[in-house]
Amino acid sequence: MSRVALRPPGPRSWLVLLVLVVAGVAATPALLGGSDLTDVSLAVTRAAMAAGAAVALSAGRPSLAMAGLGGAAGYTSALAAIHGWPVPLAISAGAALAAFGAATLGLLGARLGAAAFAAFTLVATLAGGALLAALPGVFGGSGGLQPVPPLSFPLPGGDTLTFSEVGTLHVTLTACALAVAVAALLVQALPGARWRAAGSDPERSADAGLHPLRSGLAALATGGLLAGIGGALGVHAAGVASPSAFSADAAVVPLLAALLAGRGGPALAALIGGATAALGLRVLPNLGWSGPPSADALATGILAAATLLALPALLRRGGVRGERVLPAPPPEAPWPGVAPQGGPAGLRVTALAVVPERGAAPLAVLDLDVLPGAVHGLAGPNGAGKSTALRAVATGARHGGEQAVRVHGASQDARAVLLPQAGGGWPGTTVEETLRLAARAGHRPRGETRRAAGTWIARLGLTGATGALCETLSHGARRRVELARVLLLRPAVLLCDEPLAGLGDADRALVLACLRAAAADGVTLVVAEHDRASLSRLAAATTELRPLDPGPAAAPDGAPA
Amino acid sequence: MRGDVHQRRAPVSGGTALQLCLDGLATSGLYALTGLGVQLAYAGSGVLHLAAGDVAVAGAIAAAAVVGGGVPVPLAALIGLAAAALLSGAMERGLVRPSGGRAVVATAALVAGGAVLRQAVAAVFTHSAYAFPALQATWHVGDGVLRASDAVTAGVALAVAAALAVLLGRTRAGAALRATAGGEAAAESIGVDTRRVRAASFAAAGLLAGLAALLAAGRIAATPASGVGLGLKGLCAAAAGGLGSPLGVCLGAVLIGGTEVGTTFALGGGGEAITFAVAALALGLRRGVRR
Repeated sequence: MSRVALRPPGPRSWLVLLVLVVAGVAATPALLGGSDLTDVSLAVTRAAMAAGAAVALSAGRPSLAMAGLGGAAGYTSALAAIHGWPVPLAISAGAALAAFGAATLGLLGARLGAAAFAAFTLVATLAGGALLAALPGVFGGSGGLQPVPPLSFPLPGGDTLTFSEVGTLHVTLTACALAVAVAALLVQALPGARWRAAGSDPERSADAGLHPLRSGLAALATGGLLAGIGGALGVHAAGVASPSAFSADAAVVPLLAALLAGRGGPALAALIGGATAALGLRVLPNLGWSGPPSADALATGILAAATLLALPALLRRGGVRGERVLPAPPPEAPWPGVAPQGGPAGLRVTALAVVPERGAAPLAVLDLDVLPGAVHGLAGPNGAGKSTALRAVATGARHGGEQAVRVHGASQDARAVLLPQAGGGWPGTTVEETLRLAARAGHRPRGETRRAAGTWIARLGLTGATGALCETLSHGARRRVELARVLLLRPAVLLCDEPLAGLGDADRALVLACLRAAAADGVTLVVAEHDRASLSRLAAATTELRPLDPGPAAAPDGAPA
Repeated sequence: MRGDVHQRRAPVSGGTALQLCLDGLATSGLYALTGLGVQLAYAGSGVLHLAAGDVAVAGAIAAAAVVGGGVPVPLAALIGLAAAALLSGAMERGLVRPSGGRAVVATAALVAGGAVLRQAVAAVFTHSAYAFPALQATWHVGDGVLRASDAVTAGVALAVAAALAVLLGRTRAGAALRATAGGEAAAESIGVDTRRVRAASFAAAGLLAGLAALLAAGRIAATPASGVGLGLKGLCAAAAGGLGSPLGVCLGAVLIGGTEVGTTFALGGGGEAITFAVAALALGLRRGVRR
């Protein structure tokens, strides 16, 4: 899975939400009275689809199927209502089908990277469109399925409340705004942070008990549900279920809106998607545009052109520029306790073959026996396989069944955690979210996670950056976040991959002091490090990793091992 | 693409079977050409060329339009191919390169670029569909009809695949491409101009997909929207073949093209849905496509 840098919603999303609500109130039917309101209702439903794409994108799964899923929900709801189901039940069935469909696509495309997944969802959408075209008897062919019963609500006593055009707009607007608001809150809260974390860095997520697949499926299903609510409401507002939802042009709008919304999340995406739909369905036709291309397609083209124009801004948001440099905190202050979960544990590694990738020849064979609470060094030239060895130990310890790696302590809960060489925190989460996720994964009670994260934030001088995305921090600050993250997981064994690489003097002193404090608390440390002087001051014993076959493949000095 | 051609007919006679096979080969040829283009672009840049079909059809429609204006067919074909290659190269330069290796942004930019191009083509070329002249010769075998254009399509695809296999495996250009795919910094350290390699790989992708679109427009008139299906089926063929070897792409194309012709013959309109479903599964179940 490739890395997707996406931002959680910031304070701006509240503003957007406010704008959405105000716009909704302002655009009440009274103001629009007299003209045909169906287009406005349809634009609102398409806003929900864009929000759905934004939810999926937050978990690193860019889906081009949201419009198609909305379309599928629409056809389902239309068919059910035509066959006598109460309309609310029909809409629920349609939305549920869309959520299920989104999760199914997520499962089928689970092994694909982000870009290939987008292509996959587009092909699936076209398959859906072809299916509709192939069964005109069921789905009404190119003219769509009609007439679809209008929005109505069964009342006790056998009566039915049927909404007028104005009432339909009110209901659609309320339902979609509510659904988008709930989704925006969800993405911003801890479940959303979990999705963003797992979607942005699967390797770090494994140690924290986050499942990229599960997170992706949950986000996709939530997104599909949103799209389904919109699509199902739309067919009852328009009175027709149309196959146009399955075209490539319709497919790109939600994803582009989600991408443009960026940190604005589902709420801003909904606004952009809704505005694009309103432009194509109402504004351009009212201005007299008759095409070709059709007004709807032209609006899509305008959104696409806007995306292309915004490309430099989209890339800048990735944090390449304007990195935050934070002042180093004093190294003397006391450290938060990091007693391992399940008590101290030792590490025994027996004849572990260090293999850079599946099927390759082993670089080295590792044997280690580290007592609980001891600090053990791992030295060796570049290319000897130090990083690979630590990753193999972490993986072996995680899977448990591996005989070559054993974390032996008093409790089954003792675990080994990797402190990777590069980066810090999850790219898609803020500093505070990163540390709260780690604190939760360290099996703290629900109420204690915020406090534990806050303690580390204060100790490491990160107070000024709690709401900043990890990827926007300077290298030194990111490494501090990473140190806090791994220690909040309460590991029994911490596998540190060059923890001092690229750090200034103050940050080096900080990391060394923190690692010593961790060891004093009973954390067993295995430290791979180039800097032998620092290593000898930290580690009681050191294992020299020598390549089995030094050969010409050994990397030049300075490259990562 | 050929949903309207075949009718249910049983039992299948020898002539019809032969006709179906050649038809399947020709359809596979179209997807193989597009897929080879996608594979080249992927090899050069690590990006899935999601707008390959759109640039190809833009070129084909331009070629068909100039033929309508009295330009000789070979010259029109060259104009169409050049347009497709230029458009594709421009997309690499303007959309993929600025994305700085971020696959999601590059993908979205290509999707957006494809959408803009579709609308632009629809605005400039206002006929509903554009047909490109194809060889009209046919042979009757039993009760089947074999078209010379189908044989040409299948032959061109095979020739291009063989040429690409040689190009990738045996030449300097192929080595530069493989080096770029292996790692940009490493490739530059041995003197490969990776920017040129990536732009060239996209231009070549446009050229190959454009060739497919021209041949396809000789069978069924092209519309601005027809590039989506061509491009995506080609992409799925390439993915099914593992995006590695030209032979794999051809086999992937035979899977998708064969499914299309077979299921369309047996089921009529339902064939297209099954073809897209097979294409989606071929892409979804591949391990190799990590970006």
